[in-house]
Amino acid sequence: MHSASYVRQEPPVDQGPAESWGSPGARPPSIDCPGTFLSCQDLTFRYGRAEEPVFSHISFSVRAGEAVLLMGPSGCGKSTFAYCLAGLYPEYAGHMEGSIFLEQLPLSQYGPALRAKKLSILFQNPDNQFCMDRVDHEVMFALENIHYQGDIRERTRTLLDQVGLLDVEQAPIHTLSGGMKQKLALCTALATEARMLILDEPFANLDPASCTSLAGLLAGLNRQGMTLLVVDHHPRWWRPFLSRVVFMEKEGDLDASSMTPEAFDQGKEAFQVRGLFYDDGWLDGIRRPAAGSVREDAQPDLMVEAEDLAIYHGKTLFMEHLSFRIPKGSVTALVGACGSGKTTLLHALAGIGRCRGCLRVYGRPGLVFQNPRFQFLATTVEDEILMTLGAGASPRSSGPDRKAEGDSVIREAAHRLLKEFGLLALKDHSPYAISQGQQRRLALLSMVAGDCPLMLLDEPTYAQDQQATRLILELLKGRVDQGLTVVMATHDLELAEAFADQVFVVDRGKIFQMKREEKT
Amino acid sequence: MKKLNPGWKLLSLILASLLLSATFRIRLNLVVAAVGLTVTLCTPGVDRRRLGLSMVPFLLAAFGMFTAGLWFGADGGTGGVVIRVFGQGTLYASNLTTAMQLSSRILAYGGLGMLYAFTSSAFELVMSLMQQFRLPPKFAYGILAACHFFPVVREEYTIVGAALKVRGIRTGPVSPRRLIPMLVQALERSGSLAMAMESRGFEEGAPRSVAFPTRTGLADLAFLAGVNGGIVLGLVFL
Amino acid sequence: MENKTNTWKLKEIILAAMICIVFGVVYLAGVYLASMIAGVLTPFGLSPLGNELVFGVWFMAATLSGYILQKPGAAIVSEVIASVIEVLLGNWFGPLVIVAGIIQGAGAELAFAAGRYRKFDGLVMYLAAAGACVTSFCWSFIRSGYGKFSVSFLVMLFVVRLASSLLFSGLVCKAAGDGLAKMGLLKGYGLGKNHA
Repeated sequence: MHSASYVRQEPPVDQGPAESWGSPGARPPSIDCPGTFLSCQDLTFRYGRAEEPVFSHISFSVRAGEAVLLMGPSGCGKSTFAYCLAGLYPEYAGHMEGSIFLEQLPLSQYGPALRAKKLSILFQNPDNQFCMDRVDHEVMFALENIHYQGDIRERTRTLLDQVGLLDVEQAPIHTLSGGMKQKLALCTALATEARMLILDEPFANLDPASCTSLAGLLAGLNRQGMTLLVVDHHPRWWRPFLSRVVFMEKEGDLDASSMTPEAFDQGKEAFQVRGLFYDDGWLDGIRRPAAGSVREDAQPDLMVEAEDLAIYHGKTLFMEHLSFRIPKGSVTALVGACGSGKTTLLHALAGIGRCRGCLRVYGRPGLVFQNPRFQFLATTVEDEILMTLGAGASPRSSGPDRKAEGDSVIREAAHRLLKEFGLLALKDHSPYAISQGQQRRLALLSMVAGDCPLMLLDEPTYAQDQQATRLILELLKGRVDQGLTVVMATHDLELAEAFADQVFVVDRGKIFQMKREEKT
Repeated sequence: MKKLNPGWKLLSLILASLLLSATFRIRLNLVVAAVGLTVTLCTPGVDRRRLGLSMVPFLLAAFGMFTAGLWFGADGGTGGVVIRVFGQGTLYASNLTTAMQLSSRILAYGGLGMLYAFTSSAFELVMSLMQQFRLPPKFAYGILAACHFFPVVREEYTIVGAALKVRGIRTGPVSPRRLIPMLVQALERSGSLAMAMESRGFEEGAPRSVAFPTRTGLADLAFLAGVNGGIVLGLVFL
Repeated sequence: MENKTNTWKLKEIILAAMICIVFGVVYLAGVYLASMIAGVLTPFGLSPLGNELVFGVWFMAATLSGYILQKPGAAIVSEVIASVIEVLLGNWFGPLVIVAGIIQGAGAELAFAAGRYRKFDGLVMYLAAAGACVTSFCWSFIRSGYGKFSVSFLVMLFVVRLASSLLFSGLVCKAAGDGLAKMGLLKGYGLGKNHA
C-alpha cells in the first residue's frame, strides 16, 4: 500500500518531461523523489509500414516507485506496447512514431547496457530468455554486461540468495521449473541494477504456488522502491500492492482511464466491458448442468480405460500403476504442478507416448498441444481447416464439376466453423501471425473439424483473457453435450472444479481422483 | 589434459590432423590413434563407458573405409601382387595397403577427436575463443545461447513428429512439413533470446568485465609443439 | 535495398546458430538411417555411400541462412558456426570439423557472391548447394584420402552427394525459406524484406 501515495487521481498533465526535451543534460530526479520515471507521448506502432497501426497516439507515464498493472483483451497490443517501452521495439520489429522518455532522456539515446541499468523486462515465456548453461553463469553474464567491478562470484551469490535460488546455484537452467526460471530472470534483472521492471504476463505458464512466491518477491521489491509495470490478464496476484490498473486502448491517453485500488471494488463494470478477468466470479454460468453424482453409480459407456498403466517420458519411467476410467461424454480435468506429468499422460492417451500395461481408448483422439504452434500444417488459417476437412489434401480426384461442388460445400462448412470459433475474419492470415489465444482456438478447431470423439487439451486456457477463455469453454460445452469426451490438463483448480465431471490430481508419478465437494 | 586452454588445444589438434591428412603412414596413424586413446583413458574424470560407446561408430566407419578401399582402390592391378581371387573380385596387395591407409587414418582422427572431446569443456572453449582468439562476444554468447537449446530442440523435433502423427500425417526426417514448425520456433526463439540478452545489458563494444577468465600458459605452447613435433618425427622415422 | 549492412546483429547470429541446431537435430535423425544403410553396404565396400546420402543435410544451415539473411558471409559464417557447435556438442571428428565447415561454407558462399548478393532465386540456391558439394568433395580427397579410390567409384560417390545436396540444401531449403517468408515471419530479415 506504500506506493499508493504516488497515485494521481486526476489524469496527468504530462508537461514536465515535455519541457525538458531540449535539455538532455538535465539531471534525472533521484528515486526518492516521486517523479516520472518512464513516459511516452503520441506513440504509434505498426508491424508493417503499410499495415494498420497496432495502437496510435498513446500517451502514458509511470512514476518512480509505482506498481502499475496494464490490462487489455488478447491481441490488443499490450505486449507490443511493453516491448516498445522496454526499448526493444522498433529495434527488433515494426515501425514506431512518437517518443519515449526514460528519466527525462529519450529512450533511444540509451544503449542496451545503460538502459539495462535503468529498466529490464521479464518475458512471458520463461524458457527463451537465458543464454547460459547454469544458474550462476546467467547471473554472472548480466554482471559482465554492466562491467561490474567488484567480486562477481560474491555478488552472484548475494543476488541468488535474494530471490531464493542459492540452493540451485550450479544447477543447469533447463532443470528448473517455470517459476524458478522467472525468479532467475528476475535475479538477472536485479544484477543489472535495474530500477524498473516491465513484466509481460510473467505468470502465464506458472502453477499457483510459484505465482504466490514470485508475487511476494515482487511486492517486496516494490516496497523497496522498485518501479513495476505488469502486463497481465488477471488482477488476482497484483491486487495487494497495486498502485493502479491501466487499460490498454487503441489510442489516446492511458493514464486517463487508470483505476486506483480504492475504485477497484466498484469498478467491475470496466473489466467486464473489456472482457477482462476481474475476480474468480467469471466462472459463474460455466458450470456443467449435468455434472453430479449420477454418472458415478451408473455404469456408463467408457471412452478410456486404464489398468496398471506405466508411462515413460523418453526412456525413463515416469508414472506407474495408474488405473482410471473416463466415461463417454464427460469432462475430466488433470490438475497438478508443472512437470508433474500431466502432459506426458495426455500424450500417452493420444497414442504418441510410450507406455506399458493396459490402456484402451475407444475412439480416435485429438490432441491440442500446450504450444499449438507445433501442430499447424498450412500457410493460412482457412487452409488449416480445409486440410482437416479433407478438401485441401485431395485435389483433382473426381470430375471437375463434382469437385467444385464438393469444394464449395466443404468451404462453407469451414467458414461456419471459423465463424463459430471467432476466426473467420482471420481466414487469410498465417496461423503463426495470429495471437496466442487465437492460435489455441485454431488448433482446437482443427481437431474439432477432424471429428475426433475424444479431445485431449493441454492447458487450453493458458494466456487467454476472460472472454477468450469463456468462448473456448462454451464451444467445448456445446460439443460435450453432443457426446464429445474431453480430457484437459490445467493448473487452474477453480476452472477444473467448475467445468469437469471428475478431477484427477497428478502428483509425483501418481494420480488420484479428487472428491467433489458436497455443495448445497 | 583438462587444464590446457581448450582454444590452443583445438588449434594443436587441427594442425596435427592436417599433418596426418597430408600423408599415408599406416604405422604413424595407428600410433597416433593408440596414444590419443591412452591419454584420454588416463585423464582422470573421463567417462569410460561413454568413451567405449563412442568408439563403436569409429570402428564401423574405419571398417567401412577398409572394405571400400579393398574393393574400389585406385591403383589395383597395375603391378600389385595378386593375393587371392574370389568370385569376380580380384584382391591385390596394393589394395590391402590402400584399405589399411584409409581405415587407419580414420582411427587416428578418432584418437585425436576423443582426446579433445573428452577432456575439454564447451563453455571454456567459447570463452577461450573469445579471449585468446578474438571471437567477438556477440558470436561467442550467441553460439553458446543456441547450443544450450540443443536438447530442447531435439525434444521439439519429436513433438512435431507426434503432432503430425495425431493429425494422421507421417513424415520423413527431413520433410519440410516437419522442418517449418521447427524453423518458426527457431526464429521466434532467436528473437526473444536476443531481446533478453539485450535487456540484461548485453551490448557489442561496451566495456565488459570478465567473469570466466581463460589464459594461455607455457603448457599450451608445449602441447602444440609436442603433438605436432611428434607427428613430424613420426613421419621421418616410422 | 535498405539496411543491407555487413555487420551482424545479435539476433541474426542467434538465428544462424539456431538454424544450425535445428539441422543438427535433423542430421542426427538422418544419420541413424544413413549408418544403417552404411552398415548393410559395408561388405560390398560401399559403406561411404551411406554417409553420402545424407551429406546434403550438412549444407542446409549454410544455404538456408544465406537465403534468409541475404548478406555477404552469411553462408560461410553459418557453416563455421555449425561446425563450432558440432565441436561443442562433442563430435567425434572434433577438430577437423571446423576446417570442413570453412571449406563447405566457402563453396556455398561462392554461389551467393556470384549473384552479387542481390540475386536469391532457385538457381542461386541450387548453385550454392552444388558449390558446397564440390568444395566438400575436394576436401574429402584430403581428409579421407578419396584419391585412393578408383575413378568410377569416385564418380558414383560424387553423383550421390550431389543429388543429396541439391535435394536437401537446394530444394528443401528454398521451400522452407519461402514458406516462412510467405507466412510473414521474416520481416526483420533480408528474405522477408525482399518479399514484401
